[in-house]
Amino acid sequence: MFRFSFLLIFMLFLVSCSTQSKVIEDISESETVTGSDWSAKDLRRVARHMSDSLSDSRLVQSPKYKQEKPRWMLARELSNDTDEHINTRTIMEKIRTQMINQELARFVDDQSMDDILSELSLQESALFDPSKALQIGKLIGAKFILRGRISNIRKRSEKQNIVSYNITVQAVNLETRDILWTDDVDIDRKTVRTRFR
Amino acid sequence: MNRSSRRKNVKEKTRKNLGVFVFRLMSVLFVLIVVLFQFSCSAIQSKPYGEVSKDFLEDYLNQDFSGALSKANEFVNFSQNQQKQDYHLSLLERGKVALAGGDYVTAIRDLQKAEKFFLDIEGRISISEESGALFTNETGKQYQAEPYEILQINPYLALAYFLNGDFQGARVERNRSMNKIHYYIEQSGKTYLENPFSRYLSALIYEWENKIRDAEIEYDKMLKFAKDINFIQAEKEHLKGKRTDTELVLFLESGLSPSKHEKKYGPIPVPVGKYLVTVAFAYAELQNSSYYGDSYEVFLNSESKGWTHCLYDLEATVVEQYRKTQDKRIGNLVKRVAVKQGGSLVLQVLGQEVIEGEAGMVVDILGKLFGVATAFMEKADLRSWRTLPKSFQVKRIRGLLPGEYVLRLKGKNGAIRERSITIQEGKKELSYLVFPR
Repeated sequence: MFRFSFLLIFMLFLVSCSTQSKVIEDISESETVTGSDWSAKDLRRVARHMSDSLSDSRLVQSPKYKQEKPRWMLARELSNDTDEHINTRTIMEKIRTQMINQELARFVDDQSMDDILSELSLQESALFDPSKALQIGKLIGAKFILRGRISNIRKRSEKQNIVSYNITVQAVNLETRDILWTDDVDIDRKTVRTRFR
Repeated sequence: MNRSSRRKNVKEKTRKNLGVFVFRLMSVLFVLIVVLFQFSCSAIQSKPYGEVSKDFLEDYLNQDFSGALSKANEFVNFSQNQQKQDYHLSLLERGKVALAGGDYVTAIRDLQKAEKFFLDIEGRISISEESGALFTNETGKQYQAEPYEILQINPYLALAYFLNGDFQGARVERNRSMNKIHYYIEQSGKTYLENPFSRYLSALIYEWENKIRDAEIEYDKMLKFAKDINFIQAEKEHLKGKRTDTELVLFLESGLSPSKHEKKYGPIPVPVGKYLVTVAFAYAELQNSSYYGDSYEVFLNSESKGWTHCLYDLEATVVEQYRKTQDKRIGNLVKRVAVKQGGSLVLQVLGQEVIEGEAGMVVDILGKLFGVATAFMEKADLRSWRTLPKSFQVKRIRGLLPGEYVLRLKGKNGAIRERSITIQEGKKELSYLVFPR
């Protein structure tokens, strides 16, 4: 009787007990990959690969480039040909951050033009001391634009999901439209589905 | 001690040991039943889907989309707290209502969340749910979206993204639609699931991206099964000629898709020899809606622009899919009845033949009660995505001059709908209208 009661209470406890969720900070890159979809690890890998490739490229290594130090700009975003809603602007900005921090390039801000024009216009007004206000006509133009495309191929079956990403980035001369540098990264991943949930 | 008395002692001991064994077995079974009922509580307590969804559906039918959205919010909250197995279906309903009412952000959020969940659980088994359903019914299980419902999510998302001004997002959803079509239809050969609305919208987005060859491929595929072949052929021909920048594409949802109604048999007591089982089963039967689901004549500023074309007869797809999956549903039904009444029969046999005295009587009564109780718990699963239409209509008007227009739609049943639209120079205007009744 005692054993039966213990078994009953134990089984009822088993079905009704709940667990609290746990917060873990500072996870590794691999832990950011939770399925087949685009992850933080992929973002970092692409940025590292592209900036390393650029630093070894003939474009950046040329004496003319080192002397002129031309400005770069980003295209608004990578063209997204995947079946996922990926923030491709983040990919571009990550690459730009790596390039600036490795002193490979100097960038002009492609997104602040409206704010800049508004501020310049304001500082031209009588409210500002002309000797201390910003001067018109000092903006520097970009010579190169960094642009690219991300696409994927997905193969799905009942048991698994295989995704292959391809990210291509290129540097284009804004004056001549010459592609002066290009590289791509392939990322493949497979997720196996469990039969039970 | 002589042989006969030894034999008598052995028999006595065996009977006692058997009795103890059976008692322990009954205890374990009792605990198991308590545990299974714990998991099947949701099936026992769940309210019929028609009852919980009727409030927002009534407003939706009357085209009061803001009222419907407010009631759909309550429905989602109710599902989230009390009927968790219907939560993601409620998100589909709210997403669709939001899309009809122009709240694209809510539509995108709800439809994406529901899609993610349904793709995750698709084809996967929950042992606790299956065990619970064996003793009760299917309404306690997580709702698993039908393939035609899963195929409908991404075109709606593409529409929502486009109408929200996000062409990039619409392109991504177009790609997802294409992947799903490939998986559910082309790879599996289930051509009855073809979704011409999804294909046409994808072709449109390809065309607007200047991917003419991809648009042509979609039109070629549609020619194999489209209801209005002449319209699709004309669309394909237009790709070759000069394409106008200023145009209006009208997507119209007409009527409501079929609903499910319960057909119940029993409970009826059936003698099996000297034992008694209680047989009952319930199944869902499809019923077509009586609402108008046909085409409309389109007028722009009182000038007739012709009739809309039936792009997708969703009602026919729902009926066909239901017919194709009937064997599986009947199989589940038979399995469930067999397990329930088999359990009842086993308990009665144990009570009458194996266990003696009062204990045996108790087990026998338990067996009969078990059969009756589980028979009464039999309920049909009436859940489905109720806000889907009967048919999708389309009308494409090219070469319009920019300006304000009064769009009037006149149905064959005499119903008239009016709305104002603005056509901008060099822009592709997409109008999405929902007429469920």
